[in-house]
Amino acid sequence: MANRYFSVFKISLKSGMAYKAEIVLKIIFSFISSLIILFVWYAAYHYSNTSNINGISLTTTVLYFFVFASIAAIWGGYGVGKLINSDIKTGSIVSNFIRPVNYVYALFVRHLPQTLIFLIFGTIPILTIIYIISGMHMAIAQLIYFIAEIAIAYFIFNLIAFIISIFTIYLSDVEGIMNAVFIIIEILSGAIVPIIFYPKPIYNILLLTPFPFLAYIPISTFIGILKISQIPWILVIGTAWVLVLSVISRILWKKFNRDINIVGI
Amino acid sequence: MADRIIKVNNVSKSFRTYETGNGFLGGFRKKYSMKNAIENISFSVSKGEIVALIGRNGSGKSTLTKMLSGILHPDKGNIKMLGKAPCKERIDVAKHIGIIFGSTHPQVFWDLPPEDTFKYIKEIYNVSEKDYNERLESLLNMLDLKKVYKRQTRQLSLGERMKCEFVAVMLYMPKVIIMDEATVGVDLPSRIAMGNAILEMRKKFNLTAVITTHVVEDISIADRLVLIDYGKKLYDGPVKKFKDKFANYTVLELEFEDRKHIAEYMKLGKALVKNNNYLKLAIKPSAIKNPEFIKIFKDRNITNYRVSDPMLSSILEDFYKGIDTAKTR
Repeated sequence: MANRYFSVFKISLKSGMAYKAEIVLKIIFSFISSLIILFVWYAAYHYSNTSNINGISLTTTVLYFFVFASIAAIWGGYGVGKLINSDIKTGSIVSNFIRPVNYVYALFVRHLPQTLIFLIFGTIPILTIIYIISGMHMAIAQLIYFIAEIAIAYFIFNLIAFIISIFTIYLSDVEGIMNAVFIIIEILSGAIVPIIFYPKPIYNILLLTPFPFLAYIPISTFIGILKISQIPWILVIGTAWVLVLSVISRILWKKFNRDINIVGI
Repeated sequence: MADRIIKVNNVSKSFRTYETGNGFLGGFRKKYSMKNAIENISFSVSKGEIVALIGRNGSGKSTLTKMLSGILHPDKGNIKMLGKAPCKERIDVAKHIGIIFGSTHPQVFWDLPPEDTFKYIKEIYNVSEKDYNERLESLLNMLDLKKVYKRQTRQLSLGERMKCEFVAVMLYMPKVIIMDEATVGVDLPSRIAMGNAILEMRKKFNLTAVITTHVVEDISIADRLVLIDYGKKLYDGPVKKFKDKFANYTVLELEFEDRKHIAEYMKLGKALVKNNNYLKLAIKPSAIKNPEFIKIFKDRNITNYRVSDPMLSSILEDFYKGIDTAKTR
């Protein structure tokens, strides 16, 4: 059975690598577009004549957004959400349903190569360059926690995308809704404003939600804003969110999939 | 009693559809309604049987094939495929059935050569290296695909892509094959080769096939015809019986030396085609007793004549016209 999913992975990787120039451009432009927000923060520091906001210096903020730019490509394209939205809207779900594999597992496996391509050719080289240039020091535990948080973030992001996108079954197209939801998620995750800049009570509440895992938590772990002692508890919260979102996804899929309506296409 | 491999019991399926109004603002005014795609249909297919599921556009054929393969759930009734409910045990059922959904839902990967899809199929369905090589070689030769199967799929013609879809399914030798308009764009020799491949597999492995098509020649390999229209089953039986039941006429074709003699034979039956020196008539079986009919053999003005059964396409055309006429009454 596992062999079948490995075959799905291999063919998706091969399809993903069919247009190499497109991959390179996607990585470059994702990095550049994610850095635009950095200029806004540079201006904020410069014109407010302050050297730090909530204890975070301009140098740390610059580092924060460089690290964000290196991981942002992983979240590009709404993850599995885009796949399922297109599968249902165009009827291509049929081509996947006729195979002896679980559609939902295969969906995640189909998306995995795209993430790995960005990780290998985008995130890892860029983070290595940032690490060398910035002269930062990172403990092994910090690196392991960072990798674990990226893995948790991958599941949280894709499960949220999955939950929203299966409403395509009833709404025909949910790209607009996904746009709106992910703008809110960007604000809550620390992709635009590092959540440590928010008032303390809001910051503490946000740490209990799944959203900071998509930006603030892994970035802060990497650059050392978060204390190492805090991280195990944060990982427990993240894992709990992955489980909760998995259960919600499972219940909704079981309830919704019998209403899939691919007629006339 | 033969082993019933597919059982469809009182199955119904409806879906919500809408119409929009005219003009720019019309897009905001949607009128929703429920369309009954399938209404209380029952039939079964025995092991090794080839059944042609036919009907006009929008008659519900594709909806039915999607329910047979477990993609859509029936609203009412139940379906058993190889003893299992396809919509509940989809993965188990999918291991043993092969489906080709015309050009609308391709399974050959668009950005890769068909060869990659074939290798993927080999892995997914656990086809041994030996079987894979033998079957691939034979199918590529049979369908004249050797020159193209290593090219990117998107660069292939529609017919070539459809033939690759057929190869992808035949590689793992399913117990049941469902073909939903699988010969769209396929040239005549390859269509015949596809039909022969199905017959060959039935002979060797007792393959069961359900074929949905608008190409009447594809029906020639079928043992049975299930005809549906507006979601309702109108006929279920052997192809020959359908012809006997709905074509109570014979076709008479006459070629004349001089067209002025055509009029003399018009009263023999209903003219189907009349041009230049050629006359094609639909005649009742009793017409052979007509003295005019006997005259054909003596008339020196008639240079050629032919008596034949009507073509299935003509019978179906008349059948559909009959349904529409009955509806307008």
